[in-house]
Amino acid sequence: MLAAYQVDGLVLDGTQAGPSDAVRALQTDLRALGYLGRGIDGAFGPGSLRAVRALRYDLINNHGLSRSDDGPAPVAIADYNKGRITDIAAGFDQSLAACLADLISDSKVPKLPRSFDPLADNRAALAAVSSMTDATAPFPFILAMAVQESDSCHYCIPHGNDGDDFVSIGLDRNDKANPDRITSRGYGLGQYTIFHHPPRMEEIARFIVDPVGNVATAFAELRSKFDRDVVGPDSEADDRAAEHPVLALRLCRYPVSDKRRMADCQSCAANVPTVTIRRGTPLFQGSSKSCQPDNLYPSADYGAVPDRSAFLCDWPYAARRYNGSGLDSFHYQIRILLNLVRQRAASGDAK
Amino acid sequence: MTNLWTILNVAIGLALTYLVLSLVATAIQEGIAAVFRLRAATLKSGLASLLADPGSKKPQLDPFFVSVFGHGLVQRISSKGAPSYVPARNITLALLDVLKDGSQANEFTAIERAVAELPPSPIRQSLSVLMNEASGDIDVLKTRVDKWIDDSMDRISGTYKRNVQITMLAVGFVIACGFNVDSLHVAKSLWAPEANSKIVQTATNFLARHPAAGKKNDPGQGPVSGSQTDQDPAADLIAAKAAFADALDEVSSLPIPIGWKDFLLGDPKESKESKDSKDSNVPKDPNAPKGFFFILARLFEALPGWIMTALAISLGAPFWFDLLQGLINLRATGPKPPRADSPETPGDNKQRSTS
Repeated sequence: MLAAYQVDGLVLDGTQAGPSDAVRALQTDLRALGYLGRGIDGAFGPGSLRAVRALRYDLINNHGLSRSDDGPAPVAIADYNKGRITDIAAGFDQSLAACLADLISDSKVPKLPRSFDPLADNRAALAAVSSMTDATAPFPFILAMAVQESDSCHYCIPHGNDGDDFVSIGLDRNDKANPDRITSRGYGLGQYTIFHHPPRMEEIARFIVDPVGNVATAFAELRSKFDRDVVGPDSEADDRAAEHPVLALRLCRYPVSDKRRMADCQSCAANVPTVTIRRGTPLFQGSSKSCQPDNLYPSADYGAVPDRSAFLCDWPYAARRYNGSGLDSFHYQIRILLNLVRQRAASGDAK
Repeated sequence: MTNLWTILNVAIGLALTYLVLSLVATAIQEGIAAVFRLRAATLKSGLASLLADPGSKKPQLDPFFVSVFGHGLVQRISSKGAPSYVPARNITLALLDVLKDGSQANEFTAIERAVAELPPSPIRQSLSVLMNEASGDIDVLKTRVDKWIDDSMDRISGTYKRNVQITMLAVGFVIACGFNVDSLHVAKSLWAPEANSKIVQTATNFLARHPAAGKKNDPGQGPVSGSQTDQDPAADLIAAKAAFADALDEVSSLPIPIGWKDFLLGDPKESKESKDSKDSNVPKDPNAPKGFFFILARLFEALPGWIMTALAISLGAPFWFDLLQGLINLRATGPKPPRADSPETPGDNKQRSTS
């Protein structure tokens, strides 16, 4: 059976106007295979074009290996090329349509899950996070990160023309030589990130379908960053080293017996002094780099940001390391801290 | 029969003697401390050893020490010259302020960065431990540093007290020799019935005239403190002079044999015995010329008594004041001297006293 976009002579390069069912079908399949970030609206725009080019890159280059140490993909996308795709820069054509249809119809190629009731599923997911008594990492940080990572949505919520109800996905394109190439993908509520594609069936079951599993993975990941990438042993957070060169790693100001331990982060965030960060503010005292807007974060002006150095724990530093170590990770850190304060305000309003 | 009360009276006489002499010694010691600014010097060297890098050849020129010691909070209290008393809290605040050095970062971070930049030294080590205990909380850090400075100041005070005691011992020996206060000789003279019966009254009168002699005359007050105020050394010197004159008056009015007048007569009893038994090698007339060896022998005879006196003086006025008061109180519970006319003495004491 042919897919709706397998139409002789149908070529899409972003110049076509108006939505169509063929494009909607194409977007749905690109979404299921993890090439389109979000939006199934039937209009072939720049986002769809980038998704197509990312797939073309993979058909030529993706042999199933990981860019990191998280194991190989279950299949090699390049095996589905069969000599049909030789050029990354082109748009959608019938050769690509054939490859895409092959990928979709092969049950060995994992597809991303979607929800019948994303609203209810997301609510259940957040409730599960809040009730997690896991002392691995402080859940308020996880919640604040979920807002930043996925707008607290494990599944996309369809609205208007957009029928997207797949698991939320974040696409990183960090290969300067191949700007359309997707280098890693974060999935779901906590945007747990993997560096091979497609994900293995076991991974889909463990943290892509199940939001609680997804968050548990995020907890473990955040804790690992805390334990290994703030003061070592794997790496040192440069902001932490500049601001607390003397202190040993601090888990929480409250003792084990205190119920606020690893749980009252929103109050801590609301009670520390705040700082104002503007375009050009050094990333930390003594840093040669400063806060600047970029593609991902168009503004570099933040008011009343809780001062990370005034926290009596090192989770603000770990939260940044969850996102990496570059300029973006500082934007990320600022937003997490702001989210903590906003969440406190929101929960205060609710009371 | 030797009455127990006679012994008590002798003890009271000795305690009174030592108290008065301690007051003289204290005045002299205070004078020396004022002239040489010993408190200020001890405070400065104590703080230098706390704050300076021990590797530096001149700890008092160590830049970190100089900036803390020169801080307004440390210096401002003193009217002139180096301070001799500084509240520990001020040192804490000065120390943290120097570390913070006007940084815009949050206080704890600013201090932490400064500590990290200090050369490896005990001060850096101590502050690092205190910072880790505080775990980022500036208020906890201030409390911990306060406590630490307090303890260090106690040690500095201890050093000062030890130095004072050594000075007191030296001064005590000079006084013992200077006034020829031979403890053994004094004790013997106090056995004599006349001196023995008078001494309690003398002591009581002395205590009535100097109710706080033991309290304000503690020379061991170190260069520390919350309540003490920093005084001008010149004022200290004037006070020491006045105390000295006062104490000298008291010494001259003591009904005990001190001074050089009768030195060469030796012990009154002994000289009597020797006069009886032997042909007189001990001259009766103090003005008669003496042989060199005789004088030397007398000096050796007096030496143990002088040493005892010096050791007693080094214990300080507060010690003797308390002891004297205790002995007088003990005396008050016992038989009254015949002429005692104290209506406040409870009657039952009087009854028991007949035993």
